[in-house]
Amino acid sequence: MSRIVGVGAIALAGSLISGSAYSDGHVYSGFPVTVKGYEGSKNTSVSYTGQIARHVLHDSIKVLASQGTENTKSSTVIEDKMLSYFSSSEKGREIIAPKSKGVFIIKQEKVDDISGGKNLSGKTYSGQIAGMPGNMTGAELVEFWINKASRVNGGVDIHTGYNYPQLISKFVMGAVSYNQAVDNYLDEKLTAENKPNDKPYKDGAAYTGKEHSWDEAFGYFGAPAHTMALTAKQVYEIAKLGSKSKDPADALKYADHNNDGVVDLKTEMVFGPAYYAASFDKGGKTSYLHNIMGAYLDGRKVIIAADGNKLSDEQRSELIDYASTISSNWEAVLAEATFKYAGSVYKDMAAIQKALDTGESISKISLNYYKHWGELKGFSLSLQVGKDNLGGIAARINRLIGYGPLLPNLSQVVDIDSKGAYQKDQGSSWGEYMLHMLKLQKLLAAEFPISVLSNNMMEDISSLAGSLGDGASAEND
Amino acid sequence: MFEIIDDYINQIWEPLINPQKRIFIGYLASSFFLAFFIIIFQFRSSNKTVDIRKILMMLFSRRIWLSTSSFADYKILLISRFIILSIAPFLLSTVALTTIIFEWLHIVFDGRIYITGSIPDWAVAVVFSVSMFLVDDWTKYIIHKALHRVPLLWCFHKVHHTAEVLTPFTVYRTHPVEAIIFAIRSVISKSIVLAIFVYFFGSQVELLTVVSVSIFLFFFNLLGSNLRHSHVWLSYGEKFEKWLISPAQHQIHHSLLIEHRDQNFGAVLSIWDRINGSLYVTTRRKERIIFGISGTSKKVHKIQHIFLYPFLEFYQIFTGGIRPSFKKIIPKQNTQLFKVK
Repeated sequence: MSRIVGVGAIALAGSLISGSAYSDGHVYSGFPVTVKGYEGSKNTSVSYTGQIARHVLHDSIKVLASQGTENTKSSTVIEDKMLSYFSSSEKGREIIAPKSKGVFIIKQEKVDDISGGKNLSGKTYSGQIAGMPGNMTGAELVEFWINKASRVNGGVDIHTGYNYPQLISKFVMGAVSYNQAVDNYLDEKLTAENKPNDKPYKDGAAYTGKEHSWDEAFGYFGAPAHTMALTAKQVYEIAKLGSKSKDPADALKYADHNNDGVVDLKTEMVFGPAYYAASFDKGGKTSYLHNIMGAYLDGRKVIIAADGNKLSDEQRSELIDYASTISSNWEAVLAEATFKYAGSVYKDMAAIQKALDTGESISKISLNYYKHWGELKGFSLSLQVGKDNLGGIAARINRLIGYGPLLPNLSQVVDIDSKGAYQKDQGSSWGEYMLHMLKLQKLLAAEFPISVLSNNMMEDISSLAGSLGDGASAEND
Repeated sequence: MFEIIDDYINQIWEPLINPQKRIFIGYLASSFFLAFFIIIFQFRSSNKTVDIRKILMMLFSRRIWLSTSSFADYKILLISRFIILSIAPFLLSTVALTTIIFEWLHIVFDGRIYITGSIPDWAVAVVFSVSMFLVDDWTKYIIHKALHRVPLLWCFHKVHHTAEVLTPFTVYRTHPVEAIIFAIRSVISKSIVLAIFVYFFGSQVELLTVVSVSIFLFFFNLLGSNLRHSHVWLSYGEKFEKWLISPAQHQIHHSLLIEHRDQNFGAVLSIWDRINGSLYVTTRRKERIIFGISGTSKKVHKIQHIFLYPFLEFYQIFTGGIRPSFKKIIPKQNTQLFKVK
């Protein structure tokens, strides 16, 4: 129940977002240079291009992972290419995703056009990942998956049920973006001694230690600088490059804040974490996206107010409050996503069961199942790499999901041997694994302050029970 | 502290504004109009002059509403709401029990079985609403009958039958132990039906409602359920009373006369009584009825007697005797009440 304290932070977020965030200074750009003794030519201290480059590397790896093949020669090429996006810093890497689509024209074509020399492996969670076998660190797990993804057609292994593009993508969203933002820049780098505000982040930089720490954290969220001028639905449409808009040109209109006719990935595009926040908010029940964005803007204003001097205890405390708002809302988004995909997995399993009963083919339904399971697993692992150790909650989440999806022949991956081969064994019964998904939804709803609850498989019960009235009544005859 | 007081005030007020409750203001109003027209009809049938003032005086007679028995009803209502407020958090909720059964069905059938496609939504809603109503009504009958027939339970249910004057508020004249028994019955019966339907039909399941209340409950209450606990005689006639329990039939149930004893346990449907030989049908002709139970004293309307005496009696029956120390506080004429209902 301790996670529920986050409710307070989320509820308070609305009040913490000051009116000023919506009126003046509602765009995360153009903040002045405050660092003392700066002699360069820059007129703004805002810089988070490295983080945007990493979002692009992540999006590109996801596409590459879906190009895996059983052809040994080609698979090696795919693996090398994925690794070049994950762990090398080589120049000239093409942006594979997001790419221009129709009227939605993207300004940059190369990763270097955003920021040079960036990779993901150096910024991937360095702790051990308990939810998968093999005692691997976050970076080792991604490299292991890259290897496996390159060797199966479409990046999907039908023998284990692993959909690698989804596993890699959803895990990297947490192991890189969420972890770096909430556990590093909004945590360790907010201490008084670490990256102080009265010194440049590094020699000659146009930004102070705290300014750049805050900007880097913002960059990892992946929201457009003008998010406060957009609705959650508009942000969602930008991320879909117009494919979910009434008119595809609408998405360009929403993204192109400077009206130059193209979308600048550095400031105008939506990436993973912000996309998921918006996708839950667009139903109107929550405001994760604007809570987080507002806290980033207001926190940045606290740092600007220090005018290049050391932050006072009061200012730092205020900043920590905003950081807490960001962390708790972000964590809730990951919990919502895990909840949603537990429901998807349950529905897919019911569909497979029905198809098996009626003798229909399950090949297409199984692919949906593996896709959703990959998303479930990826998000559940992401949820565990935040600032706080989830302890027993994480253990229960991992046990309920298991190391792999329960396959229609009731086998399941249970281990990885010393050569990196999967070990399978008889899993639970089909009904029991479906029950795990229900229990997982119950656990997440009880332990995290989430309220969208997409694909809630218990929703019918609670709404119907409500219409039947309470039992604790003295009324009889 | 203020929260508790606030919750308590809501508990008192809530039945009057909640259409799921018998004494919802709308149902009280409909019962009033029904009673009003019944009396007019009765006046005309016996060639009496219709005197509105006289009818209103009959309906709102001080002898009924301000009687010792009715006062006891009001006090019980106020105290019971507090007790229920305290107990409710410890009772298993319908959602919790339904979830347990729903989950268990996954193990029993090894997965989830959706019966979808061929059955339209409206048909599922009708079958679900009817099933819920039938199970609810049947279990009410079973429990009600047990409360009369099992001596250990009768000592608690007797509180309801000691009412010598009936008003709509008499429905709340129940001992907290009985309230708990009925609450458990409600949770179990609803949960079983709900879990089974949701398991097989998923989101197709819907309760047919009027103003967010089960259509059956709504019409049962709208069409004069409050007259069951009243002195207004409303018989449906022999033909209909074989299917539905009329207010007159329930008044027969409250009668202490020997020919009326242990009849009409049903709540809405009379088929359960008909099957089990406890049905007593009435006619338009009002029968002579004395409400209450025989062998009682004025103490049956004292609050301490109402709430505590059933426990002493329960102990007496359970152990087969009374401890000497209890003899001093148990009224002599009441020591064998369960035998002389």
